[in-house]
Amino acid sequence: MSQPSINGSAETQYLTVNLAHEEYGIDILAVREIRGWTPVTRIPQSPHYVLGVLNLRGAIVPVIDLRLRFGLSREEYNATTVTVIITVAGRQFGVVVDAVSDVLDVADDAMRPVPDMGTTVDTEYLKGLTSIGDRMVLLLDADKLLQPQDAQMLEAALNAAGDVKAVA
Amino acid sequence: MSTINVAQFHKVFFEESLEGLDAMEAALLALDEGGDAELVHSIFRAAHSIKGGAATFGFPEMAAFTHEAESLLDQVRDGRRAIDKPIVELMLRTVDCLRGMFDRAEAGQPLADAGSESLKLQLAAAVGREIPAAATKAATKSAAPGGWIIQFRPHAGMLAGGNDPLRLMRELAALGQLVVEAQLDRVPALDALDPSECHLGWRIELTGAVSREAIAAVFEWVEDECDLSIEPRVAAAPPPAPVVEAVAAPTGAGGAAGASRHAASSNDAGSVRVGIDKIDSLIDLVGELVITQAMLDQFREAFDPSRLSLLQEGLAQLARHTRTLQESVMGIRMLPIGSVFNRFPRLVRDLSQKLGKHVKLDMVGEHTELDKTVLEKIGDPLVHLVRNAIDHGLETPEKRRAAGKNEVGTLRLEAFHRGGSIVVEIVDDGAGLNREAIIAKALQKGLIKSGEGITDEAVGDLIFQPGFSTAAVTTDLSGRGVGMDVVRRNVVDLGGNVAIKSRAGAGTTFTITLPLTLAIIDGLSAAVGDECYIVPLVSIVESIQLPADAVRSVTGGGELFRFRGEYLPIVRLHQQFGCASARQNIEDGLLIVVEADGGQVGLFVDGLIGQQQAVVKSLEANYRRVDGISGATILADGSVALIVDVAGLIRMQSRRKAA
Repeated sequence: MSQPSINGSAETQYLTVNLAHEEYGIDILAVREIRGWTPVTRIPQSPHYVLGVLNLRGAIVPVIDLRLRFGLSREEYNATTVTVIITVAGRQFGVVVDAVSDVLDVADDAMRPVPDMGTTVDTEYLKGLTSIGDRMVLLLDADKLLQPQDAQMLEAALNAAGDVKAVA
Repeated sequence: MSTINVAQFHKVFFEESLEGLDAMEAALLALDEGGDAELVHSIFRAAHSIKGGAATFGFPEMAAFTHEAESLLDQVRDGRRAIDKPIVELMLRTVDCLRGMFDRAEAGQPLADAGSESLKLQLAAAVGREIPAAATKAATKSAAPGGWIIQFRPHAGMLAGGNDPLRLMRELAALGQLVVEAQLDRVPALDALDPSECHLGWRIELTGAVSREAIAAVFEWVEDECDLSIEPRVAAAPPPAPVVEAVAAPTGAGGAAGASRHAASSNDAGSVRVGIDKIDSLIDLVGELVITQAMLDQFREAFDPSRLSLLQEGLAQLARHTRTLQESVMGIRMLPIGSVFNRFPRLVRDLSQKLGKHVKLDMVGEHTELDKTVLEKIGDPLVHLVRNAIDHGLETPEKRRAAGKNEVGTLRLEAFHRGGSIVVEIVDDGAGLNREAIIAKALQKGLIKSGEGITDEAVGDLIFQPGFSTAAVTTDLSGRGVGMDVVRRNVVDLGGNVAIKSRAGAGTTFTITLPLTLAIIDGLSAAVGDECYIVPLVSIVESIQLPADAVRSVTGGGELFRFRGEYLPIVRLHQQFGCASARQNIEDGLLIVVEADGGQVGLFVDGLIGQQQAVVKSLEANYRRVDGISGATILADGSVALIVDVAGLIRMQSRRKAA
């Protein structure tokens, strides 16, 4: 939620997380909780970045690895690796990141569009960027991380593969 | 002084009244069979309560309407009037009309419509009292000399039920001369148009000496799916203004009522009436659980090994109580299947009259309980099977006589428990499946290559194929070929299956097997690599270990093994689900032979871990559907295990085979 700050412009709070030496912000109102990394149950026929599902107090919640989502490799899961549980449009999912670092207040007019600068992350998943002192924070668009169209595209691809196999 | 808001009691009033209407209907049908005076009393009481309630809760139209019905019943009760078929018929229509009124009341729409007004006039006429209205005479007479004006407004979803308005028109045309006027006011703009829905309405003028009943009979199967009014047409002068208003206003509102009713029902969380004995036993169980917990609590302070046996006993008690508590809680959702069976006496009566067949309906095991969710979804498939049985299965009295059978056909509905499932059988003593016709049709449709050597089971299976129907003439009852495959799919979706057994000349038996509940399943947990999958116990036939040489490879990469004289395909779960580090050699692992939809396959897993109850959780709630997986569950250690969708795997296997 945006609140008017002292200087009059609206602000949004972001939880910042570390990922491959870069800092990303997630709208704090979408964050439900932060848990230490625990192994999950793999789901067959899922994109590689969907690690699996975990039991969140009785609900089955998918977990995606943000590194894999952005095409990076994951070396190891260690003591600082955390799963951030996010709720978007009534659906919950977990996002695995290297570490959580901070909560930032970002004035809405301090958010700049993302230049197409060849970052590791596809700009499609970013809302914008902001700088705090000499740090640059990329603000994530949580809605787009576990997109339904991903699942549909995957299904279509699988079906197509199945048809090809059937023909062969 | 505080005022009481009566609206808060409406829901209870509606529920109780609908139950009262069900009771009325059941009693009327029993009367039709020749019942005693006590039945009349019970009908009277139900009508009286509805009338009283309607007046109290601010539904004067309903009270006035019920009053007429009550007056008629009063005469019957006092012996001033004998109960006969027309009266039963009239009262049954009254029950239907009241149901409609309750629907409209729930949706907050005006209660009275043209249908209820004309029925009220008929009731009053039957009582013998004059009603001061211009249309009375015409309405009370069965055949209006001037003909009829029919307002027919199908609901948007009517076509989905396979009902074709054109066919209705054709039937009407057979009754007399028609002037049809289409009403296009509800047709949406092209971009908002759903072609599978019906947006048209019709105003039909029917000339000829036709009885109202004959017209009503045409619309009998769509009456729940449309707004319908049948009004006498006054031939000489233009129809008097009140009649026109009565016709026009409710039809417009009727569409809105239909729409808002849908909205209301989807928002309705639903409620379950629970017997007080079930609640009492729950309270007892929770009491027991508290005692056990207190007993186990002692060990927290000090524990010495000498009391180990006590601890074990306490834990065993805890396990027992938890299990009984679980069963009792599930029991709250369990309702007797009678609530579904209740609709059949009426259905069978109407249907057999329409078709000129004599049918005796036997219902056994109405008290068998099953989960509310299953119960709600099994109604439509059952209705379909019952309609089919009467329409196709049972023969006409002449044919039955010729075949040396009792003229009265028997239709039996039976529900009972078998193992962890509930079985519903629909048995008729009709002609049985027409083997030749089915084979001919299947050949024509290209479903089979030749009719040679086809087993009876295979013939039975054919009728479950999509688009399959042998009925020479498509009737409005059945025979559209959209039925049986939908029945099977509905049942399979509920985790059950349908089997058919038929003997020529002796009848047909449909057996539906359903799980008691969808929320908890018994399953075997199987290891595949370092993962664990749950296979539902109901679908497991046997687990076997095969020597390597028992497997036959076929071209295309499939594998088969011999099981009880048949070759079954092997599905390697590690391949299917892409698990690494699983056992590759058939002799190292285990084959779980599973069955669903009448097909069998062997699932190859590393080994079995154990048997357990699994609370089924949805994967779709937060993720999406995954092929071969029906859901997930939580294991004792808090981790998640996936539940294998046996029917889905078998379907995938047979698709692969077909391809």
